Amino acid sequence: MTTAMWVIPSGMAVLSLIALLLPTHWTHVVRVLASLYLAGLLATQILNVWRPMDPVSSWFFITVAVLALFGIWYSGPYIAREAEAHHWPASRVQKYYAGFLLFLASLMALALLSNYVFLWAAMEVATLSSVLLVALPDQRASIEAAWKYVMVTEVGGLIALLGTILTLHAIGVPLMTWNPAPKGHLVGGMSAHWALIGAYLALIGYAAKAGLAPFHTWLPDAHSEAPAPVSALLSGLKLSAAVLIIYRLDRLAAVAVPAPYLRMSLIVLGLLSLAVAAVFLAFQRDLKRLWAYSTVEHIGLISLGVGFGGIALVGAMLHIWTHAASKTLLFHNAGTVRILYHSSNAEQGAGNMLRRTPWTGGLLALGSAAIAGLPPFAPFWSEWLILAGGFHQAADRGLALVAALLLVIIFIAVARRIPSWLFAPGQSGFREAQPIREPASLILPNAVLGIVVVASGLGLPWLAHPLWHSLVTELASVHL
Amino acid sequence: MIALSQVAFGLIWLTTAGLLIVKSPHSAAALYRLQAMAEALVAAAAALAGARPWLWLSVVLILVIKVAVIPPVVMRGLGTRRTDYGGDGAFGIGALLLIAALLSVGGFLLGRLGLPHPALMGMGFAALFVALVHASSRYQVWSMLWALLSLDTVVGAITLIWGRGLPEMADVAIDLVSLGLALVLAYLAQRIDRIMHARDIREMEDLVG
Repeated sequence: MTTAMWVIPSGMAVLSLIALLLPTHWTHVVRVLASLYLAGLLATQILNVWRPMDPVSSWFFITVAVLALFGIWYSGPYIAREAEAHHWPASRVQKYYAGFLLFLASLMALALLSNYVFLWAAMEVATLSSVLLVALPDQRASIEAAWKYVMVTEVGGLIALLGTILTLHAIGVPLMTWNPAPKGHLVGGMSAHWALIGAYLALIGYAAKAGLAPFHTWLPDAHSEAPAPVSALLSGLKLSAAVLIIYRLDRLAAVAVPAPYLRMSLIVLGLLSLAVAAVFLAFQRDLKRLWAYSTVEHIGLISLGVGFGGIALVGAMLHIWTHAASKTLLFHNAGTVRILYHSSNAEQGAGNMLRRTPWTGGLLALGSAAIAGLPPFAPFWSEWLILAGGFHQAADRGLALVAALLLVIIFIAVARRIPSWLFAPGQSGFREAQPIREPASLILPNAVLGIVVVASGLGLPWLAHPLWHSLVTELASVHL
Repeated sequence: MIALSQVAFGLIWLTTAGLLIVKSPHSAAALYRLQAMAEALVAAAAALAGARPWLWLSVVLILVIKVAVIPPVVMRGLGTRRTDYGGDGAFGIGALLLIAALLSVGGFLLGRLGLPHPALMGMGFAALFVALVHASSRYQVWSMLWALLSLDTVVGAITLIWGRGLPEMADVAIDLVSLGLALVLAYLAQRIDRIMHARDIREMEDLVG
């Protein structure tokens, strides 16, 4: 079954091609087909008709499928309004759906494939398709963001390929193996230090793809300029997929190289990302840039969890879902803000939201509370597990303490910034207090996602019991 | 066959250094073609060595994609910037050459630290370091674009040596990614020219990081 997994993302890639070839007025049919395809895959997985290679794959695939469904749903009304507001030609809408579905196909491949070379290729497809989606609005800022994105992450991608092949070659793993954790050994003539150099190169390359500091420079621009559904999936899924590849590769390399080097690198990158987010979050005036820097923070947390290992690793896997769900809600919400207020900048009129657009403001408040780590929302539990995992090991306590302090600073920064969108009056006079009509088609997908965010905080272990159980069983004792 | 590979890697290193210092997009395209032919030579040498006869497919793909398709596509994407001339960057051309020479020495030494085929790997690392310096030290859009494609070719050649277990499907995937990268870069270069009218990245300052 493992080798046949490529069939599943291929189905979505075919739909992407259909979206490109069919006339524009057929795009809604392609959207429906893509949604049915995802829903069918989810249903068949719940019914045990097929299984990805391990619980981590299952977990990530379900996260991808659920949030992709919301992405496709929200894309309909959002892109229609964007196209109308900015006079997009019909072909651009067509290109959006073709690119978006190809991006989804690559994310599904990242969840399901178990060969490192093809995982790299899937990551490249995800990068190149999302670069085009970032550039799609065809404005100065979006082109600049796409250029920065492709330059930084493609250098990273090529370094990652080199590192992956060097690592696998050095530890004697056949490059075409379809198994994420085969038993490796050092091949004759090569020393362990080459496996370590390879692992470091792969770490640097995929860290650039993940937007971990100090390789995060492309991230705030790309996230803020991409169409909202693309920002959501980039932030929640593509970046996490890069950290998952690092986790799998480092676990494999740990048979041949001193594992503490690898886990310490992940912890340092994680802490650095938290520090960068702590410094920059407090000064953001644009809602999408705020959530972009918040993404740097949360990818840093996932990296920390993988580095700490054990229960923190379980927390990191849980955080992939909790962060992706909350951030999808927040980026979709920011897209709605841009459409309703013609800006997402608090100083350019996007203020007083609770009064002017109570649904949008309310969902912003809900998502912000979740992503800031307030109980009982799901990110609180996953962050708790990550920090608890760090404090559990004597050697990591100091680092866990630093992470906790940085999280407090980040919480203060988010709590200080969000009221400027929710309450503060804007600059342009009496119109600031007038309500704005909120179209149900834009609000409904986010309201349902809001319910999912709340429900996953209150009862995820029960809602996903068998999978959660197998995830905990597999990962709770794993340390790199 | 090792001698053939050494000639090919030597050519890759020289063309990578050449791409670092050229001042016109036309010269860059010519050097890129030469570099891609050298990569095809690496693949042909590996195929002749008998380990992987399907590498002939890679030879054909490299020649078609990198020699025949990518240069004209990229030149078309550069639009009015095709005729640009200059070597703007963080350092002067002389300083770049000095840095490239130092990094190349580092690369040659690194190749001797326990890897099979030390001379080949030394030249591979030298070219890799020079391509990385290129990607981060020149300001013109056309030069950065060729830097990334040059890095792609260098990594592709090293992969051909290390990736002895790679079957044709993986090689095809890697070559298709190269094509996709070139198409995306050419598209972005065209939009930068038409919408931003920018010739180098210092003129792209709409976003404050």
